[in-house]
Amino acid sequence: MPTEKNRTLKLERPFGRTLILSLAILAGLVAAAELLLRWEPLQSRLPYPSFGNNSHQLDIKLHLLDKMAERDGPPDCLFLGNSMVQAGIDPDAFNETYREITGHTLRCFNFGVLGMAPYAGATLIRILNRSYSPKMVIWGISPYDLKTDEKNKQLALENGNWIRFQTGEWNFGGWLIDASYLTRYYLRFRLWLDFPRIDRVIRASERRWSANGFTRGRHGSAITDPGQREREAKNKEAMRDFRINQRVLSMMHEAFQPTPGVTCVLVEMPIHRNYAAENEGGKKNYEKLISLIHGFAKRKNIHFIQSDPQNTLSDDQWRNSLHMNSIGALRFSRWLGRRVGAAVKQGAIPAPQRFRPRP
Amino acid sequence: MSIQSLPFVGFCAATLALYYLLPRARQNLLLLAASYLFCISISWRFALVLLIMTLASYAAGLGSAGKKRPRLWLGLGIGFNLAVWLYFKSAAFFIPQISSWLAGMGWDDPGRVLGILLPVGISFYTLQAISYLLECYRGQIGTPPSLWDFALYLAYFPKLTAGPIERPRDFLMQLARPRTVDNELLARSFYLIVLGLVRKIVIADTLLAAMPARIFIAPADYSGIELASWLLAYAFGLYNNFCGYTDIVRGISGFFGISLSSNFSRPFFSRSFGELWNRWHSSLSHWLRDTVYFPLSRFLLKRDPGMKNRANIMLPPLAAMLASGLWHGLAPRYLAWGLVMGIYLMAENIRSATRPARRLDRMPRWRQWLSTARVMGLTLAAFALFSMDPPVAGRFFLRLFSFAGWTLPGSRVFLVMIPSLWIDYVQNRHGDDFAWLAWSRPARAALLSLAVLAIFLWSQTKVGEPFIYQGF
Amino acid sequence: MEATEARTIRQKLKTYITAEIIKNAEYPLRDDEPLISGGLIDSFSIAHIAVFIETEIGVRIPDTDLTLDTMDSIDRMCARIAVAMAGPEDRRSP
Repeated sequence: MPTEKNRTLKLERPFGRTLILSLAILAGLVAAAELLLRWEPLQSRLPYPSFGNNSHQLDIKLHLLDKMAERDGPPDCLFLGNSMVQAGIDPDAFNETYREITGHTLRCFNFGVLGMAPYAGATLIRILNRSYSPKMVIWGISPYDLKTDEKNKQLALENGNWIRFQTGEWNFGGWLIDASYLTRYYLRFRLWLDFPRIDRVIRASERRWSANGFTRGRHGSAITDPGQREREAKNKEAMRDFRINQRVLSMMHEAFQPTPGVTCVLVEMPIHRNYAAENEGGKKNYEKLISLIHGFAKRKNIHFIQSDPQNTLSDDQWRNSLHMNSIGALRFSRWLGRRVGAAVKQGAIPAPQRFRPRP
Repeated sequence: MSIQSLPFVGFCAATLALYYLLPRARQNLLLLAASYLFCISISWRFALVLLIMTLASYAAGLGSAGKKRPRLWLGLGIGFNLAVWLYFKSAAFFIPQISSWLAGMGWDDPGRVLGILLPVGISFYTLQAISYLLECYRGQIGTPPSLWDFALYLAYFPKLTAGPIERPRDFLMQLARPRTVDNELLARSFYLIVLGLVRKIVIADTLLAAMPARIFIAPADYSGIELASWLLAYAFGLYNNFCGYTDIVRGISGFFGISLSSNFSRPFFSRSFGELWNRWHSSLSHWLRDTVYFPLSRFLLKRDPGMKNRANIMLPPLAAMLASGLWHGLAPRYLAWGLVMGIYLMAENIRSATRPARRLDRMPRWRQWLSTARVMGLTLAAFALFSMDPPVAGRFFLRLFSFAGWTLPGSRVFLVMIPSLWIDYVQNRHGDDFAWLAWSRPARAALLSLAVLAIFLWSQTKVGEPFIYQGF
Repeated sequence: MEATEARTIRQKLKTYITAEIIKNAEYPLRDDEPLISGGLIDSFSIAHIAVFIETEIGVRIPDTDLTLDTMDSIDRMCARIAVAMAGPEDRRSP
């Protein structure tokens, strides 16, 4: 050991006052920021925060769901799936007919996210079930999901720090996003800084989201609009051959784990007949895919509702061949509410446990 | 391990703790052991190369300082160092090209067989070894250091990967003296680390990660404004990356009581190219000045001491800057960059030779800013050469000066250049790196807390860009 | 070094710098005027000054000592020359 005289480190008191003061200021700054950023009047003036996922729509939905739960308690029912669910299920319209049949209200949230792969959706169901304990999850799937290889989206969803944290892989970054509004708003700031064009698009779309996750105001129809025929023709060409993607199917099986106490319903999201019935081969494969989805539902012991778009929806109720417009969504959601309500009343679907009395 | 990683923080903390506990006589050995451990953590092969070059240079140094054939020893020592350096440097340049040629002919994974990686830090410690040999020869070293101290001079881990290039006499004197770390040195070291992290993580990583991947590959895909903007962003990114690294290692070294040279001194405030090279990577430019420029200039001036000696006006700056280009790499773009920089310096020599000198700091402010803008603009043009192969650089400039397209870059990351400019401005006004230490305690504490918060938040986003100069 | 010699050296240096480097014999060059940091001289000029010192004053200042610390003013140059005259010089150049 060095002697006093030979010592290298020769500190004199007082020592570290600036450091201590800066730590105190830092703690104060962070605490103030966390409080302020949780304050509703300020939040309403800021863009939606980010959870660091590659899908900004996912982040928006997570935030809106959070706000809903803070304001009125966790939702009774979640709708999950891709953009077809996002565009096609109006929570209020669903609840309207569901209540008519069952006499009970279901507060619902539309968690449809653009590009959500079915196995990513299965992961998200686990996460949301744990965080919000909904009594019912209605998962919208279509044969379109089983055709496309969603590999990249799968990676994007599961490699995010917050998603990894939520699925049991503790990591500091994920914990920070979960616990800290400052971090979430910082991530949103980085979007503003690094990708202003995307930021502008997202900010424009943010205003369209309702508190229940649905977007109204989608009008028009590419099916009936002659100006969009060429684009629709390209989409049709891409969807002509329904080939089954076994990898997607097996990942769905793996990812989906029913949560005790949560009623899960699988519903076929309709596709315009332009896609399904173009040729004999396409129609046969379509039916095959429907039966695969049915088989999946049976194995997982969840109720499957097959849609009937030809009878439910007319051509002018489709925005394009995959997505309903607002009128189509209204109609389909009411139909779905009746079907689910009837199934609950008949006992085919276990009744959700938490109800709101009829006003 | 990267100096920006948690293992490195742990490594430094452990070394520091032992360092403070050990008696003075053992401290250098501890640093040497730690430095080799650091090198081995990257690759044991690199450590072996370093060891061999250390032993060879030490022996050559003893010979150069001795009475028997010192010039031969000097030549052998410098020759050996340059040969080893050139071998690895040319391998790093040629082997990827040979590999892809062989792969094209059907060889299976030729890169693995041929692969020779550039040992970390070799470009830096080679220059230091050569400086040592020259100082030994000139009798400037005095009593030869011990092998351990010399080995530590080359291997010292804070500066191993990317400098600064330290002068042997100054550094060895520090190793020979007792070292004290008091409150002030601790504060300055900590301050440098925080400043370095801000530069690297908040400024450099943001700018460099945002650069379009093809901006220096396919410039025709972008408008002239985009090219100019991203070139500027690249310059700021490169500067903050390297300056940030230097500040961090200076800070780390300060905890050990060892002072490292400042490599950067507000280079974007330079009013002449001579000033630029005293402000940008100054440890390298001083090495080139001492080893190439001045010796060549003296040689030429002794034949003709006149100011208008043409050979002296042209050759020393060209030789020094071409050597700098070669040091960065064997690719044509580095030589093109060196040539252009040499021409800039040559032009200033012509001015110095033919016109009365003037005090730059006494010029009217607007003239100083104009000079700065001129130097900055021409330096950016040279940066373009540094970043691209000459044919691509040609297309870059054609596109830039054809004023084609008015599309603005779709990014706001340029805003982070503002803190970079502010840091430099404050330091320039104060005259050194430690401007903020003169502020009041509450102001210092507030700034420190903001800096730490920014570093913390910024490090939560994407993976950082590697330190660029580690590649040389 | 004697005072007279020191004064002579100082004067020689000032004359050379004002006449050849600054190119203005009337320039009021102060002994403590910052030459390098003020931007008045650069590496090109320093090399000339070093050779002048070597050939006219007989003192070789090593290349590694031609820095801001030793060459930034007349005072510093003279101090460095005095050190060189007092002790062993840089014995060899390659």
